[in-house]
Amino acid sequence: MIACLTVPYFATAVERRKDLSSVEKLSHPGPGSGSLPGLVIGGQPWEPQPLYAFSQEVAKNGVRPGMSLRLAHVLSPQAEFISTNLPHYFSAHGEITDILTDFTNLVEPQKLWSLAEVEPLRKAKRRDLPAANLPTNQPAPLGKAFGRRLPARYTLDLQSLPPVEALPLAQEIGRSVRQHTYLSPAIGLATNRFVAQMAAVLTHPNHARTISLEDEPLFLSAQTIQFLPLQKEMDRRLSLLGIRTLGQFIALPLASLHSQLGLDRQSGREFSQLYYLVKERIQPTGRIGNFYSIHQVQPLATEKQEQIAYYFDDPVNNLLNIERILVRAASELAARLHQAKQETRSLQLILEIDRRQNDPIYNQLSRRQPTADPLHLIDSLRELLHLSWQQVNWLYKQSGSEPGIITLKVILTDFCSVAPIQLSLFEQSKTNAHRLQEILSNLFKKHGSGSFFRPAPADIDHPLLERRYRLLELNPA
Amino acid sequence: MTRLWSNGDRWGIGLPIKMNTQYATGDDSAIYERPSLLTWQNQDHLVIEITKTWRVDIDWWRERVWRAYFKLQTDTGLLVIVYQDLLSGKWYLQRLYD
Repeated sequence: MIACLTVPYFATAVERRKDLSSVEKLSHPGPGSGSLPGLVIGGQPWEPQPLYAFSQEVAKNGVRPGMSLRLAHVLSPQAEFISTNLPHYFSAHGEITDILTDFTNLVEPQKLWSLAEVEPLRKAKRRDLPAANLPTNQPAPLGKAFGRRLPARYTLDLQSLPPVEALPLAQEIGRSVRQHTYLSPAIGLATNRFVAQMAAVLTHPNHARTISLEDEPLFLSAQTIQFLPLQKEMDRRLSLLGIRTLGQFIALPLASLHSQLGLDRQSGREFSQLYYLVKERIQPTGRIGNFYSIHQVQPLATEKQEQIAYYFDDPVNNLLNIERILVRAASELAARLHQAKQETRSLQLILEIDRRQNDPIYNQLSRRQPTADPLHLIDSLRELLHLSWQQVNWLYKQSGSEPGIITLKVILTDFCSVAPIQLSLFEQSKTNAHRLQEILSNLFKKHGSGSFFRPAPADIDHPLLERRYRLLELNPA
Repeated sequence: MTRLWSNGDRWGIGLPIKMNTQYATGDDSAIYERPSLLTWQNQDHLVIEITKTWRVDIDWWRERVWRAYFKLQTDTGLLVIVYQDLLSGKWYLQRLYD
């Protein structure tokens, strides 16, 4: 089974977490919940830029993704307008991913920016994202209907878990996310990701919905064609032909659709793929293989990193001062590495200059030998600084002003252990024990009773090996 | 995880395996049947050394258990304990050292 967890109106839900009273209203919607004021993220109404995200109350007034802030204000004058806090959303995104990885490593968090997947996100915002935080996986393209509620989306592969067991597990996952993050996820379960994602979109927050293989044709045929990644013109032509649902879409012969839509060779091929993808799910023939939307969920590869950042109120333009700061950063990072018994191979230096229209200056250095020695780190960082400084100077020569650094960030990645370390199987620290217990109880819930045993000595000198030990069933309690 | 016991059998009598044998003379000049090629999960493992052998014959008053145990090393790097149930003639893989 594939589970898709979405948190609708993600950015606004994260903003509202700060205010516990609104969290309560969201978690327990009742008669008073309608009084929650709308929220628009992206800036103030007079700023000439598109909005970044908005809440459900604002969506009811007709605000749509990609709309300008000014228009959003016209449609929803009562709404509160706030600026974008990207690190905050990334952090919440990471929190959810962490919780999900307790259940399975087959978690595919979709890029947070797909919450604006329907409309192009303005370039300035993309540049603001730290490169290390961007997930590398490329999900299949999704239709407009998937992005309407601006969700954060996570796909989990529950492997061969039958639907009867998958639903309680999904509910447990939902509870866990709600408990730890105060966000309200909606979960869709199906045998493939396309349908699971669709089910998640159509499910209320704090609910889970299963679409079994038998129900799939009926479920799919009633859904809107907006779930398909159709181009605008194709969408328009289909609506002119009166085709609204996926059932109507696949009822038409492919050849006539081609001629009606006047598709060229490339778009014709893509269209045919889409057509057969849906047709195979609604009217399975077994001839067409599973298309791209049903591809496997990739295991989550999380890269550890250590970082340190300095933010300056006044731009710093003295190279010696920056070098001194780097020396301090190197000593602190070396101390952290020593504590973790790790060495690093890769160093990144990011300098943000006071002219905001420029991208941050980013340089990376990979060492031949991993190190945790502060002197080695300082040498490498100096090398990076001199390289970056040349770029800063070049930039400022263009404008004829003095260079000034407002942010300095050092990131260490690509770690390896200082020496082989025995896994701390017998470590009894309280936090680890608690964490282990939590993970074990999740595994119990996933696999059920009769799956985990502990060997216990029975008759240690018995001539038959199998009678020397007994297997005792582990009790999750 | 490889379970060396079958489902529902908590005592783990071992996994049934296919074994090719050959006859060899023991220290007491008697002729014994010795394992020579072990087939497990459709893969052949040639026995290169038998490090230990022993026999167990117990519970004859209840339900007799009569087995010939062999601790083997194979050309594929396995170190295993196998036994032959001398009542049925079947071979089982009991332990796998890793």
